[in-house]
Amino acid sequence: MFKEALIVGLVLMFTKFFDWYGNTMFQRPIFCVSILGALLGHPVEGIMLAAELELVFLGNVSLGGVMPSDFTMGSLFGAAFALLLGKDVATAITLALPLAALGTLLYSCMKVAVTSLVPRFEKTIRDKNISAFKRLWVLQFCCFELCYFLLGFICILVGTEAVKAFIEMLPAWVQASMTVASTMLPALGMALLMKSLWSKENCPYYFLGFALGAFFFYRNVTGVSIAEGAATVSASSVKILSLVQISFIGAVIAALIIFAELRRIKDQAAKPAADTTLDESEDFFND
Amino acid sequence: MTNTAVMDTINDTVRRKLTPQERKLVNSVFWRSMWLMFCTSYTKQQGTTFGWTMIPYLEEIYGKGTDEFYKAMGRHQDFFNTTPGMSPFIFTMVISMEKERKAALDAGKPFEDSSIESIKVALMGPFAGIGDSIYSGALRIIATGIALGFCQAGSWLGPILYALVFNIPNVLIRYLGAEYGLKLGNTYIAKALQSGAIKAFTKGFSVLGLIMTGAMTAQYVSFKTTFVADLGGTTFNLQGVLDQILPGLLPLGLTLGTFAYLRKKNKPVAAMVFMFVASVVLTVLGICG
Repeated sequence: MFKEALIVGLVLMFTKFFDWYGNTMFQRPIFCVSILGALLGHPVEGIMLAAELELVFLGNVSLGGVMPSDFTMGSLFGAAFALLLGKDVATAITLALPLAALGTLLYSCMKVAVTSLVPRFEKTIRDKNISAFKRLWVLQFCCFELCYFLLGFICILVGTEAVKAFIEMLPAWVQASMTVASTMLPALGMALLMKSLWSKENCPYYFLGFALGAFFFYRNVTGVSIAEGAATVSASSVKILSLVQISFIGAVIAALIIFAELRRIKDQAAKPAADTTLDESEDFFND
Repeated sequence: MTNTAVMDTINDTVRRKLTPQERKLVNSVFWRSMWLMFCTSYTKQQGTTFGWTMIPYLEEIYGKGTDEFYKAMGRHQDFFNTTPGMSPFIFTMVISMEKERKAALDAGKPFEDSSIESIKVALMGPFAGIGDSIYSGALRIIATGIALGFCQAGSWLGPILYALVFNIPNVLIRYLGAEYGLKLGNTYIAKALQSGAIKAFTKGFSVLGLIMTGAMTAQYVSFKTTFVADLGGTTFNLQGVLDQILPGLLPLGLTLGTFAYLRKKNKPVAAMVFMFVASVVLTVLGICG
């Protein structure tokens, strides 16, 4: 288990690094869980697990310094335990959700620690000691990274057996309700996104997007059965507009709005000059 | 100067070639600004690292260890928060303003120190608005949308495509941001802010972001009920009835409800705890799951 613990610790550390460095979005489950799966020797299962965990946490984004849940830590641990113990997606999700919530708590603690360093940073500048400023910055960076490495390493090394016992002890309704929670939580992420985008005049576009996503279905008739003299048709529906296709439509609408706004600004700017000359419509009719 | 004239002057400024020195600065800011998100605190968010990023540039402008350098460092430690990908633009612009300040002081002319701080404050809000809608609302969703299908099939193309589709635009925005921040300088950007061109783009990208958020609500909030009752021979399927009223009624209701709560009381953690409790209750009652 030592090698596996080392791998999980390192993946967690590097993922947390690339979360901040350059904001590469490598912290999303779809990427980091794929890497973890490959390193743990289950590449194909890893990628498929990555897709499922990404769907669970898709709505979760950290915006404006608020992290609704630490999906990176949650999904890495969930996937690691599921792969190491040979369990399925449901187990990964059951572990990932509460761990992601705990991860937020840990992150808040770290942020409190960093906040307590702020007066020290200010003091080094008042004391005109730039090398102390640089040292302190490097120190907090190393502590941040080391903390996540040790967390991943120790939890896997010590915790795997305990987690195994814990999962086997869990009643079925806990796993079922975690799966239900995974369908509800994306709504929180959406609400957080909306908070930054919503304005009274733009809000209809949210409903347009919803309509494009929800109302375009193929209805496939999959089977007809005759029972007690009545035919029942069972059908399944498939959504025909993917997010990529909707984003294409969205980009067209956004471009129309930007052009219209720019035109309006230009017209407004040209207006004072136009007032002194003839009205445009008069010009047209005089010709 | 009228707005059209401003636009023309901006076009001229943008077309000019950078000197080798300026190219070096753009490259340097591009790499150094990558670190912006480390050391975020509740009181200053990215403020401390903003100061850290400025160290080599301020040392070059004012000289190592001079009083002016420490004064400038003091000024650059205040609260700062924007979308990290948009920061290179602000960095090169602030550096060019500091250069102007140094030139003005050397020539014995007065320079309003607060103008540097006020341009930072004036830009970080609108830039976070455009940035969040580009990065979180559009880019990440498109990258995920393209990659998900490949991932579900277990193909390596999934994560690779995801990384490329997100990060090629990310790198371009960062690099070009650094270049344009330097080229435009503060005077033009102030006028562009006044002319409302930035507002037009923010509005466009917010609309795209809202459309994508709506679409995601429909396709990724998969909350549904499994409640089925036997009413004297006919089965009553609650989800089927809801689907006939409006497909996606529950996800839409849940999202709008959460949004209304967050607008009133900004407590995302409380909303999350509520969802956990609700999911346990609904599962135990047999309504969901």
